[in-house]
Amino acid sequence: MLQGLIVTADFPAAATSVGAARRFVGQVLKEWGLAEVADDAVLATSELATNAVTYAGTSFEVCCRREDDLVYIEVTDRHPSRAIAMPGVGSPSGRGLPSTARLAESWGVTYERTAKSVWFRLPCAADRKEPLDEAVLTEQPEIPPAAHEGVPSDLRAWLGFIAEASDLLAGTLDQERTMALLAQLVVPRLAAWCAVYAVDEVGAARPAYIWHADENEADTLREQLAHVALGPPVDRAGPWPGLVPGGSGDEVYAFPLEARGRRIGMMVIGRPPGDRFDSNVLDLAEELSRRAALAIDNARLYTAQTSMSRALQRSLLPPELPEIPGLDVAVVYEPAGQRSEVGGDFYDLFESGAGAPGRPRWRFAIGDVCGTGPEAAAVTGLARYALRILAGEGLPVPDVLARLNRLILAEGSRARLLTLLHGEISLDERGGMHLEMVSAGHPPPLLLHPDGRVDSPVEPQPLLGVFEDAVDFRTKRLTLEPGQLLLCVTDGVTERRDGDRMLGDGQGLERLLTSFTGLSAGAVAAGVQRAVREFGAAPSNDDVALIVLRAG
Amino acid sequence: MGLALQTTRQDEQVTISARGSIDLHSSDELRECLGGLLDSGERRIVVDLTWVDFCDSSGLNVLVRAYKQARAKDVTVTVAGARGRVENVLRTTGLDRFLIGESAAGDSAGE
Repeated sequence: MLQGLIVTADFPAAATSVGAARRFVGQVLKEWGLAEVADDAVLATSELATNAVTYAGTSFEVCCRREDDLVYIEVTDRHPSRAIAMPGVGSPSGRGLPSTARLAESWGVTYERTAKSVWFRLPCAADRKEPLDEAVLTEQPEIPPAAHEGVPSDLRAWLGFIAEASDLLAGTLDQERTMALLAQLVVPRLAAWCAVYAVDEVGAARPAYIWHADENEADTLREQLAHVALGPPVDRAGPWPGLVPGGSGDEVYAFPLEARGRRIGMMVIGRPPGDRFDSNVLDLAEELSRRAALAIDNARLYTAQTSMSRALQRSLLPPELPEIPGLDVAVVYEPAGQRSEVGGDFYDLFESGAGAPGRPRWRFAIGDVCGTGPEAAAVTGLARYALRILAGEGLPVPDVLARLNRLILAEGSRARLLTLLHGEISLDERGGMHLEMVSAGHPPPLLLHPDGRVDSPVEPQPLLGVFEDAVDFRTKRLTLEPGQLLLCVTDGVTERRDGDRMLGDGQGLERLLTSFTGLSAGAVAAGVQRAVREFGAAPSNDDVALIVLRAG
Repeated sequence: MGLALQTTRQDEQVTISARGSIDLHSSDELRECLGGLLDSGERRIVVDLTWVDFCDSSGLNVLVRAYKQARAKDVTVTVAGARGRVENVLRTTGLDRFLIGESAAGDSAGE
């Protein structure tokens, strides 16, 4: 406390504690002015808290500690006897601490006589504002009755278990992790062991996650299951004959995992010989398997959508930028924070076919399609490729925009509004750099002079995708003198919000750019990107794209 | 934030007075309001943006669609009273010259 800040809070062994722990860490980091690491910290805390609740099954303490430019977060549960309680350990994938390890700079486990702590450390930048005082905050959440191990005896407790389990299962969007959670929810409350099977490409069920209450038995079980011939998953709940020949004699039941009309796997649960499952437990397991199947399938869809969106997004950006003599170029593209959707922003910079031999010309473009998701991405794709083709054939800048406008309108009901700044870069025989630009409804580019003045050289003209009538686009020509810099942005920059304030308010972007006088294109791009990130506490909900051109 | 809409009629003109922010979350309300007026055969519709502090591209999209729909039926949809950020975004996108009608600007109360 003397050299830093420490805040701790205790949480009961209940599923709702995971959310409470997330909120606690988010709140603490916000109060410390560390919003930029809050997302990662909250996510990693969520992982650890989930494990404390589902695996260790004890109440836990979360401690946040700030030291200079590091944040330590430690989650301590009261189950020191178990090995590192992370899903994934011991699973066929062999991964441990998956998200935490990915997010944190470093992490580790501390064992004590009565407790086990998992900690991680995140670097954080020196701060904008210091907290108001260094008093230790304490949060005392309500403590509901602790969860019991074993099968709950009355209906209320059962419903509570199902509700908590559903909450936990719905809370993760990682397929493997969801399967791991399912196994951990079942063991030891409903069964001594649980194997979750996923269907592979040819329809065979393969063990994806195996969990045994007695870790010494886990390897034997894994081996036994490995010897079971592969086949399709069961199609109905019931006793499972899989392990019987030469097996352990365990009581074994299997439940199909079905979601959206597809069989995605099965859940197999077992108890040692003589420890029979009663019908209540089997009903509960079936109910749980039904909910888990949906959660696993949701995670699968989410993963598929995220990777598809990323691939699509990459395809909408140029693979590499051309070298332009005498011009320092930097670009930034940052998709909106939490969403897994493709955004509508794009940029491009390429050599055009308009130049004479030995006198190349280049075109640049930065645009923003109204909306997000696949429909917007379709228009983004259309615009980007049409632009490359039309400009590549040397069509003058205003004509490219007019053609593009008609192409978008021809999409009919799929048409989207598009704002676009498009320009040509050419060099004269003395190496002078000339720009010819049209801004079709796009936030105006800003010109930074070497003395720090900023002005906007381009007058606004109508955006694309609205008016059928040929819009007469007029070009603005200017010479980019050495030391002058042109900043082109999308509205994710100017409309970046912090409560009611926006970055572009009151010439905000102009003032920001002035403060970057004399810097290289790369430094200006990084500076603007940073300013956008730090402008508000909440992550940006819009894409950000930038092109910076500086004559050397 | 949020958006409140109030519709008033004077002679042949219907005015939607908007108050708040027109963004992804609220633009549907404006869309429904404008769509309803267009469907019911109104001839002159003015969207008064005097008390709107922010209008993003989804808001522009709603205004543009209404404008185009109206034009096809020989109905006028115009905006009035835009100031600050809203005026700025209309000017930047070049929509001011289409959406801000001369007569509507003169008619709108409180200008």
